[in-house]
Amino acid sequence: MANIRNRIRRLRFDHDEMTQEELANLAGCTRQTIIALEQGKYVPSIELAFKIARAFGVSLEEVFQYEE
Amino acid sequence: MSYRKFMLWRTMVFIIVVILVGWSVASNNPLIPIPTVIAGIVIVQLLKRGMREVIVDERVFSVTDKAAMLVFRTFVILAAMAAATMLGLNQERYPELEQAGFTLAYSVCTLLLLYYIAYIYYNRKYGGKE
Repeated sequence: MANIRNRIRRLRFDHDEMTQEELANLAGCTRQTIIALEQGKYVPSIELAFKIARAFGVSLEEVFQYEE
Repeated sequence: MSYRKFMLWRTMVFIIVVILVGWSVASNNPLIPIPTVIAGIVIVQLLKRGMREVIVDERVFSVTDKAAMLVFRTFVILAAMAAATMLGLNQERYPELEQAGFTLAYSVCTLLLLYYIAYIYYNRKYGGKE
């Protein structure tokens, strides 16, 4: 798995405990994908990463970080 | 309709289709399987329209791709080995295996040819053309 971490769980918490289903609907993906992302089991495409960042109203780097 | 309900309904439709097809094969009735399978596909598509959640996304496609590739590779290797074994056996003692071996061998060749054509198509579609 690539060394890409994300702050989706934290950002959901900061956005009034947004549910996984709400985020999935905003990003246009399944709730299972949000679960997989939060568990670090799946790395999204650039498009989905942008959609998730847009759903939170933040930049891509604030959601996803690449670690060497 | 929620995702869980959709999955439940889809599983039920799948079980009914399998039962009906199995029953029609057992009773030598060739007319039932085709309309049953078509009806099953139509019902599942109608159920999908009633979904409020997204049920297919890039992760689902990725999982499907990996599963399909694993099955493809496994089948091609096992079928090629089985075909070689069947064709390599004594043809006079096992004449029926020769036909089965050729069928399997041609199936593998057809599958590989289709894979190659599909690979070229998608490689060009996604910018692999020089």
